[in-house]
Amino acid sequence: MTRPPFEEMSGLDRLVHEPSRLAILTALAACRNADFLYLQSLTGLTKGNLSGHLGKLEAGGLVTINKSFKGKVPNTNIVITPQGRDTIRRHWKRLEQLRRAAGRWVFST
Amino acid sequence: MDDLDRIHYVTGHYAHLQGLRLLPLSVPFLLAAVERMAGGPVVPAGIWVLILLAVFVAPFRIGRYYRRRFGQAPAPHWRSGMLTLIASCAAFLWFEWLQETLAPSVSLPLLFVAVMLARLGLAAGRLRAHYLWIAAAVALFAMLPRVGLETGVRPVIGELLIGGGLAIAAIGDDRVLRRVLTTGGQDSMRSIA
Repeated sequence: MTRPPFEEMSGLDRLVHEPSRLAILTALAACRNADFLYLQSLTGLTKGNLSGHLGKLEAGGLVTINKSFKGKVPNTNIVITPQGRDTIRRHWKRLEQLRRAAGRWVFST
Repeated sequence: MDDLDRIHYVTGHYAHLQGLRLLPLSVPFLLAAVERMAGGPVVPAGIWVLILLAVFVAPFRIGRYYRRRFGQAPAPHWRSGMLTLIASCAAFLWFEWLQETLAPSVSLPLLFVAVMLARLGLAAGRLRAHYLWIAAAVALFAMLPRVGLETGVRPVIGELLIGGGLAIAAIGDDRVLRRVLTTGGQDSMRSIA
């Protein structure tokens, strides 16, 4: 019998695999940068929650956060770092591999 | 993974999915079709000028609305769509030349447009499926000469098709964007979890 793939899932990078952070990094990988409002519209998170997730990603070196003013309005821009881009690409690849492995395991049992 | 693909696609094509920016462009084509059917001017010339002015100004105002409502996420320069547009225009001209040379009973350039629209409709798990309907309509229009339609009717159908197609694309793209950016994103995150 093929070895179950579930134990490999525990090896996933939890900083990236958390659903909100995974969605944020996936979105940032598709654009040059995104502002806070866009990420909030995409994830549906509250400002506090989104700030928390972005803070963790910034601490992990996966994104950089630039705060500025457009006139009198504060503007927060988030950019994925090369390390973040590399990490999310590897994570997608890993997820795809796990999905295939799980499919093979189900059919072989 | 499908949900991640959807998030990736919508963010990468955020500017293209701001569909309402296209909507004003459909108005002159639909009005032209109405005037052609009526057999004379229905809209005064002054109003025409105002409409054409609005067609150029409105997309900027609507773009600003999207920025204020959903925020900003500029696509990478290589994904601006400019290369695709230039390549598509070149291919269209080549099909025009082929049409002149071979003189087939169907319109090859329009069939090419239908294929390009269908390709758009099939992208990202048929996220923009409304383009498939537009592609089908364009393909049917490309076949019109074979059916043997009256020549005067063809321009009216053409204008209705362009105006209607632009309106369907505009509303369809806007719905896709709203679905993902107001509820779809959250649904995606739940299914990722």
